Order: sequence, then structure tokens, then C-alpha cells
Amino acid sequence: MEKIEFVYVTFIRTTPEKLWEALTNGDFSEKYWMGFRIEVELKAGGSVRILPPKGMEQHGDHAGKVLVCEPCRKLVYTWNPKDKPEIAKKRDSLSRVTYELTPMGPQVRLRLIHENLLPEDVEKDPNTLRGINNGWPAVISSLKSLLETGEPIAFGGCGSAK
Amino acid sequence: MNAVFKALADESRRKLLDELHKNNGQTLTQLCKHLDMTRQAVTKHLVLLEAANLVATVWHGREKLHYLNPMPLHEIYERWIGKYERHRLQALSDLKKGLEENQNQSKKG
Repeated sequence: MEKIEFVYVTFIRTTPEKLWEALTNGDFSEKYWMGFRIEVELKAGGSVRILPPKGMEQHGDHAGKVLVCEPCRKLVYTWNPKDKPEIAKKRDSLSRVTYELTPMGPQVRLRLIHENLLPEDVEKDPNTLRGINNGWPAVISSLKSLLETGEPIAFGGCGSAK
Repeated sequence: MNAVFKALADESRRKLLDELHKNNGQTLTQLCKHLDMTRQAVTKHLVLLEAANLVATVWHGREKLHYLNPMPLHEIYERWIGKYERHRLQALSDLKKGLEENQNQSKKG
């Protein structure tokens, strides 16, 4: 079966150090990622957990593994969602998330690649935050807004994130 | 944001984006197959789309793959729509879906 892949590129007025901190620190991620806390052991083979906020426990804690860790430059980890049994059967290997940070003048280019996805990970309706394809752009926009203006984007009460 | 609107103000470039939306991660050769344009024209349009950050490229070995990058469009969405309208758009889109399903069923029946 053909696997689905998304690539998101955005330019953020910040430093690679601050962006790395924002991507890998739970106190920070909670602010822009609709309450989700990321907890990463920053070394190859380390664990990655993305803990849902209260009331969204159905998302599970995404217990993945770090594949590549180059501080302030690159982080690759496996994405381990809490699948429904019928989807889990179809997933022969986990999907992977890559963050690449490249300084470009006063900005940092963040390239996020999410590969090895199933059609079930994609949501066709664009007016929701469900699905990998709707979730990431919202999270990245909010991260950009938080780093550039000090305020994340308020998604208040719009239901399920991913 | 000017580069984004300029890049979108051309039908061929919108077609290229449609093609990537259908099938993300294509080579230049694959894109040319589905479009009624010369290879040179497709290349020129891709350069403009990449400059506007609407297309992102990733090298897989010797192949350059092109991906639709929705981030600039998402920024436009957040600026004029996102904050206030998401709920209503969701309700309207559910309504449209429901009505269209009903219509399809009554056609069949």
C-alpha cells in the first residue's frame, strides 16, 4: 500500500536554540499544542511521550522513540498514536516525525516531515483540527505565533486536536 | 504574503497545486505527465511556487520530490477565518454533507 507523507515548511523569527526549546520542552508545548505536553529524552533511543491534557485522554500518550537527535538542528522520532484496533492491524510500522531547523538570516526555517502514514491518519474535512493534515498546520502556526508575538493561537473549545 | 497571492493568481500554478493535493510528493517528470504544459513551463511555475513557500521539496536519493506546503495558506486562514469562524464552518460543512448524503440516497431510492 502506498504510504502518505506530508512536508510543512515555515519561517519563524527566532533563534535555533529557542525553537529547539519550544519543540522539546513540555511547559512550552502545552502553550501552543492545545495543552499537549511533549516529554523527550534527548538522545537516540530515548523515549518521546506526548501527553494529552485533561479531558482528551482518549488520545493516549504517543509513546514513541527518538531515532535521531542533533540538538538545535534535527530531531526524528516515531509517532505512536493510540489507534483503534482496526487501524492498528493495518499499521505494519509506526510513522516518523522529523523536525529540521535551519537558520536563515533573522529567521529559522522549520521543516516538519511526517512520513509513513495511512489514509486513516488523514481527515478530508478541512474545517476541523482532526487528522494529521489538519493538526500539524494549526500546531505549527500556533508555535510560530507564540515565538514571534508571545501569544499562541487560541483554538478554544474546537474539540479534538488529533 | 504578496508572493503567495501572486503565485496563486495563475491557473496553471493552481493546477500544479491541485495535482500535488491529489498526490503529494511527486517528481518533475510525474507532474509533467498529468499536466498539459512543457517541462520548462512546469519548472518555471515550480520555482515561483517554491519561492512563495507553497511547494516544499525533499531529496530522496537522486529524486527531488515536490510537496504541497499548506503553511502560507494556513496563515491566511488564521488571519481572516480561524479564530472566530471555525465552529460555524464545521456546522455548515456538516450540514452540507448531511444534505448531500440525503440527496444521493433519494436519487438512488
